[in-house]
Amino acid sequence: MENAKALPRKRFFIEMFTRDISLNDCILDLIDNSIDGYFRQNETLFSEIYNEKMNSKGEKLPQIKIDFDEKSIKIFDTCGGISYDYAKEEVFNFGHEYNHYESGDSVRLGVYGIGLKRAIFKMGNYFKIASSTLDSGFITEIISLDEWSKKDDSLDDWMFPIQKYAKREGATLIEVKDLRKETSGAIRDKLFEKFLYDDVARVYTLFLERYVEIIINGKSVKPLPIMFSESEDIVTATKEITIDNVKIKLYAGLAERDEINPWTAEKAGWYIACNGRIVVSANKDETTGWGVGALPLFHSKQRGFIGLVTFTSINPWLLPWTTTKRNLNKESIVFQKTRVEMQTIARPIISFLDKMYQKESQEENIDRKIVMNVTAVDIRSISNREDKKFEVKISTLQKKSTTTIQFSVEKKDIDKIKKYLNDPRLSNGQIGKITFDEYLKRVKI
Amino acid sequence: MSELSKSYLSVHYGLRPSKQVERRMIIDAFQLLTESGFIIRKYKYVGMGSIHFIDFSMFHKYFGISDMLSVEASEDIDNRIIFNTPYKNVVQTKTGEFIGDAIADLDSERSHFLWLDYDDVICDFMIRDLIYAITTLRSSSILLFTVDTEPPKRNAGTDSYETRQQTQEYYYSVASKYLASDMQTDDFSYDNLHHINIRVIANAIQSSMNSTDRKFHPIFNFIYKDGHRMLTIGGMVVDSTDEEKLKNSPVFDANYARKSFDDQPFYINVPKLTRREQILLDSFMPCEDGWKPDEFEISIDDVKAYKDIYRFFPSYAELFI
Repeated sequence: MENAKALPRKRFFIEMFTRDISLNDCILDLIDNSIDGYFRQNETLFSEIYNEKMNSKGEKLPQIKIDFDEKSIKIFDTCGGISYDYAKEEVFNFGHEYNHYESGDSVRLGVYGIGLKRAIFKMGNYFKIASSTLDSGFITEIISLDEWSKKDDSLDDWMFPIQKYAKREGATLIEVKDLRKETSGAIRDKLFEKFLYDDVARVYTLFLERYVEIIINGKSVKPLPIMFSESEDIVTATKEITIDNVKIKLYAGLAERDEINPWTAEKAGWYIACNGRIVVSANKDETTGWGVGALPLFHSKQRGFIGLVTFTSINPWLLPWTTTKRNLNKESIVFQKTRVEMQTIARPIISFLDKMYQKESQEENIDRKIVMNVTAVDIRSISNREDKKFEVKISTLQKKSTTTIQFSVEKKDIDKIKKYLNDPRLSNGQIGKITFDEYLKRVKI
Repeated sequence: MSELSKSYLSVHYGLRPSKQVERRMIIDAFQLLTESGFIIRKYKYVGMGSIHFIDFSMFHKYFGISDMLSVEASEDIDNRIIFNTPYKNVVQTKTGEFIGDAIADLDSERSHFLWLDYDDVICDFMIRDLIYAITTLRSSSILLFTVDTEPPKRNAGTDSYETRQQTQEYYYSVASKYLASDMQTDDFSYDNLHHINIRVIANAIQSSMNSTDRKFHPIFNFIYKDGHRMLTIGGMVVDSTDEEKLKNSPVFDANYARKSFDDQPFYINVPKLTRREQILLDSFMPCEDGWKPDEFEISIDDVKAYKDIYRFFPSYAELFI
């Protein structure tokens, strides 16, 4: 029997898989690589990402610096670098080997083994990578990817030239020049930098200020933390489950609030992290179970709701993220099973918020009083808790002692009282209260 | 609080013979399930006792369930509820809360018998409660879901009913996800409305259980009419072990049991008989098909209807105390 060819073609990779990813997401892929570099050198357990481990010693964190203009994009990190051997055997392959994830239990964000290549192809025609660990280093430079892609006769053409690099500094520089038109076009947009900053602040909130510092065109990115609120009376719900070797932790409760910063619909909803990287933020649609099954469609009165689900696994293939890592693979069995749990854990909070905004005057609503006395809680301070249900304790002292009276009277009688009291601005409700109090005073009970 | 909670004002719970037959059949089924190893007497019953608590009294008195919770949405009748609570050491009450919200507080380690016993036409929150319940209850728990299958009323509190087209619009507004998209207006006729309800409930259950390791196995599918035509769907939440146990249970030999949503419902039809007629019929029960007494006029259909329910027919005065 003879064999038919089933070879990959460079053009296919370059044109096809750069289409479905934005420039922003390409840059995030490169940040993932840098962060993975850090975790490769500093074995970090999953449990630590979500725990109270802050950069308390004041150590200087490794940096990831992203600098770009219309001509070039540079990413420089001091996260540990890539060794010569690793670069030669693994880094430039399109996809990882089968057993790539079978060793180690450190956090890893890289999944598919395409992020670096895809980002470079998307951005420009020229690239250079210079990287070194403390033991070895390498340099690769391609003047024209277009020329490189034209040579495609056999698998031997799927190589990049590599040289040893003399430096030993635990750093990586990726430089892309001769930018593609759409890339320089996107960068020209004044808002591009802002959007990238916001994305980085959101996506790496669990890593920033703890493991790495990310600096975009000179600006250090501040994380956008996912904050709950708690008090003596209010407890955030937590639940831990394991499905098909993926550890899942759910948190659901009331969002951070204070007198100046009320709850906003913009921040409300579900946040989902895969190995610490936020893949979905403030989601309020069917993806996370709103309007299906046991939950209603999101309504603005539920804007106090916040939930976080963390999926972690040493094998990132098992996680329910898409290749851009900015959305969920909704068909994933792990995610579908988790979604049922998300609805179950969210439901009491939704009911609480619905009740809080029932037609009752603000003063009478105990629930509203309770949520005035909450304080903000960072996810890391509750991540070690055992499973808990959402709880609102209403002490007997706070229990409602009032009721409402409603009745009809002649308008002319109301007018008479207004005139008698010499105050035409009085509302019907106020008149009702005055006359009721008057009666109580008179009968002395 | 809600229209639902006011139903205790309009329905005299003691005068509902078909509902009573339904309750007795449920107790009978529990006895048969016990033979298969489901010790339902040890379950916690969670229901909507209103101020009458008839189901609570029956499940305690005749079946021995001794841990019960009644949830009432109304906040204004606390004292009435406390006053009317039978067996105060057995029945806990919760007021000012919807039953769907009480599910969150149930002990996930324990088997429950939960009855979402709504008096109204199906609506979106009921479906959400149903799904919440079946995805939350542990395996071996029993869930019953009752709804009114009359056409929806145009305005709450009036007697004018929706036309077929308005009924169709109503059903699509509350349950479009669980209805086929090619249904015709004529499908929403009175005679078919309970089938539509069964479909909605079955689809809602199926779609929500898809992604879990458990299933909902039907046991009951009752239609009865003491005034309004009501539907009760019931069954057990099962994992694979409990499913095997349940499939082999003698409960499915009972004439009222239904193991699939595709089976025809069991119509509880209580013929109107005098006490003397009932005593005579009882002495011939269970009778051969086609038999009827010589002593008085009665159709073979009515004898058949009586044969289906005579073991469960309330044999005391009409009012259950």
